[in-house]
Amino acid sequence: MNPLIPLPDPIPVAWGYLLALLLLVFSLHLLFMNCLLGTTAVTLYLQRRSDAVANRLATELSRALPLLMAFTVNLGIAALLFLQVLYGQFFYTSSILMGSYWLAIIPLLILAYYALYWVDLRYRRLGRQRWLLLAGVLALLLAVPFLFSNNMTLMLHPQRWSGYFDQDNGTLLNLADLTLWPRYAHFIAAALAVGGLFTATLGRCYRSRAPELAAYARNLGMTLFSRLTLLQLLIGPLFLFSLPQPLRWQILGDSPLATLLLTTALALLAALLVNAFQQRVLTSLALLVPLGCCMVALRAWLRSAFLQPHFTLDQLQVVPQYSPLLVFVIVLLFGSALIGWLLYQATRAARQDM
Amino acid sequence: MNYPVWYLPTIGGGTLIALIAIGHVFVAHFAVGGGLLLALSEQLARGRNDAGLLAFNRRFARFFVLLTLVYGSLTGVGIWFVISLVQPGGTSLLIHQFVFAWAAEWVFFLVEIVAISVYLYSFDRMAPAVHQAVAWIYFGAAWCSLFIINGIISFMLTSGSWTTDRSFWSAFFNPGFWPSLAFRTLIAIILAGLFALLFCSFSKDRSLRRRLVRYGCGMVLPALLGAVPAAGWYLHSLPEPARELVGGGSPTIVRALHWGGSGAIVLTLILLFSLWQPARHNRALAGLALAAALVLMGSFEWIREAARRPFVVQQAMFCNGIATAQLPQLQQGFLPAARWSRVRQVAADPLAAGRELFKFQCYSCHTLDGINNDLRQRTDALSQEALAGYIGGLHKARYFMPPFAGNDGERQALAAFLTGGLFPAFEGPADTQGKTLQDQFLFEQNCTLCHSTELVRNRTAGWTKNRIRSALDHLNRLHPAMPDYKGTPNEKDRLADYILRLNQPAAQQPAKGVTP
Repeated sequence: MNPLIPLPDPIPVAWGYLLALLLLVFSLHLLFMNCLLGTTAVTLYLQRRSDAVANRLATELSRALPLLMAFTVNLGIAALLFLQVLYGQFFYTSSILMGSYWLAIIPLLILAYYALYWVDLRYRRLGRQRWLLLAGVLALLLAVPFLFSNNMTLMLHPQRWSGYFDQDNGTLLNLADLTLWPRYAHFIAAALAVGGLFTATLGRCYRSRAPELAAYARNLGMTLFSRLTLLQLLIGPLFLFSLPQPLRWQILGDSPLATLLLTTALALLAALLVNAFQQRVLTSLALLVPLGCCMVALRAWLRSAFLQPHFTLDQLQVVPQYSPLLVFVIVLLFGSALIGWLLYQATRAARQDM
Repeated sequence: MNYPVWYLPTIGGGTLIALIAIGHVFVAHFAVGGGLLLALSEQLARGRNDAGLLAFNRRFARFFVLLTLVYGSLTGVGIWFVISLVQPGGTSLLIHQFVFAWAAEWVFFLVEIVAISVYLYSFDRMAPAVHQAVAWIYFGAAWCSLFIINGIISFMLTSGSWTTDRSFWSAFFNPGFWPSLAFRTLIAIILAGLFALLFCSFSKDRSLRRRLVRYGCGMVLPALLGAVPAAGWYLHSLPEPARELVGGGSPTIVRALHWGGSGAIVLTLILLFSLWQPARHNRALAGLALAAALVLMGSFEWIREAARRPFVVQQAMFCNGIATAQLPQLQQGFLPAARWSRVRQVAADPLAAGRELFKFQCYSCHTLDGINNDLRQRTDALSQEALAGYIGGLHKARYFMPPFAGNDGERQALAAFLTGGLFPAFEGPADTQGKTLQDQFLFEQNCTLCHSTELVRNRTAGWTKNRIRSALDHLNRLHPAMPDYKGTPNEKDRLADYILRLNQPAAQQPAKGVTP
């Protein structure tokens, strides 16, 4: 075992519970993060159009952006929590090695978040400055996942950590990693595509009130979604071929689980592409969710495969204490019921307002 | 030592944590009290059919969201980021110990986001009773977040019976839990009222302003009054050594206590004045009140952090990330066991070894040539021998310092590194205990780290030898923060002679230390 890998702390429940929670919250985080990044790009694009319907759509989208940001951050917190519990010894280390960049994520997000509220609350008054603000937000939102990709790949390679001995000021990135760029491109293309689908979905809510807006949103959103998803047929294999050969072969047949996940994802992707090109919004959404889950599970498998020579989750010491888990489940159910009630009341109020 | 150290010697990890944490704790408490304020003010406005107050409530909600949802929540994530970079061992312990508490807190945070967003976007669209219920749900979720975070933070200071039974519930409902919860809840109410007072001072409606000043003061003054016994209760729950630190054992804590007390007095005076003359309440007064509350809050958090020393988690882990259980083993040799050290043996490269020892054992609190707790400033006037001697017993001289974890050679290497990084005479491990202690050495080892020579000379000007000698027997009576000198009577005699000579014309000029 690599002597640099720190000793992990014991966990209170079997790792399976924690992994299931990680997969659940990370899938949700990814969905919201994709909506946020992609919708920001769509809103920015719409600033270049002068027609009224595009302007109206951009206004509606800009209202959703701060909320998307709030949920992205919130779900990201939960994902980081479970990641730290399961892989803390790798994650804390890689975060420290790139500490200066890693901490920069916080001011970058604060700037982006305030800029989004600014656009939302001062939409008309901002005029042409909207373009500048949204471009700035997009740049920030592209930078943050790049830093995340760096950390998530650096944590998988303890053999690269010795770079710390020459550079202990937290400025080590993982730029030499072959998988970094295709991985990042894979994420960003997906995010931009999902932004298109979100646009179409939001437009759909206006079918009866503003059919023209709904049609425009659907056309623009689904075109973007279908074409960028098609592009993944190029980026996905690039990512696959950037992986070390043994891992690549495992995904392509040697590991039953990884192969099953990949084939399921490909089947869902094929169905998704057909529906996306036919501009079926809800069916596409219904297919995107399981596809996203498959991809997240494959990503988790890949992480464990990368770390397998150094560590497997069953090596974590369990000092069982299940009662806090039980309390969390009760809080989660209670919280979900409250959120359900709040959303129901909000929808009812919005309907009455129409 | 389990993890690498993100090393920025002139800035220091503590500075980075403070930069993010100060703003966050202020806004995070406001995020709780503000929820109560929104719920109460809407109830009052609707009950009294007060359109002005309702409009205020609406504007305040927008300000509230922009401050708490953006700055408050992201700096909260920021604290988590920065502590995992600066204190990875402690963070990992807290994350693993409390994973489902954090997870439950995340759920409440999610409820907060949904509730406050629905509240903000549904003014005039919802039935009043439902809209008020949304505000109460927000406040309930925010307070539950405080409830959980409070359990984790208070655990760090008062770990209670967890040290023996390792139970989640012992850790969460630790001895400091309830007093800390009471104090923080009251602080949250105080801050919410003060923000409302500031916000209303911008209103042009004089009558509304007067009403709001009355309501605001009516909210803050009782909470402020209640915070005094709550603080006493909290103090009482501290473990004995921490209570001694707060009671005068630590000069920095005493200073913070004075600041906090002054803040509370200024705040009370402003509030009483505003209550007496609501028409004269203005932005400057409201701003000053908020600043005084910031000083009060900042002092409290500073004291809490400082009183926790030498631990990051009471009795379990020292503030430099070394687990208490590991200490005996590390005292045989730190570097060979430190997986992230560049150097494994002192003899291989003493200068580099000293740097690594500083990085892993001192840097979590001290900087080198930095603005925050600069160690170089304190040590560069000392000789290597004197400092090495001091390092060996620093946890006895200063309770709040963690013991040095390492062998004699490592102690010498650290001392050499801190006394200028030059040690031409350094020839590997040396034992200072067996050497004849010179008078100046005695002075440096025992006095110079905290007091400059000039200070000692001025304070003892005109003193007789007997007076100096007698003072050395009871240093703690000179100042509660001074530890008693534990040297032999002979050493005390020589030290008294040396201090007496400082005030004589031909006095020997020893090292120039610093004033703390």
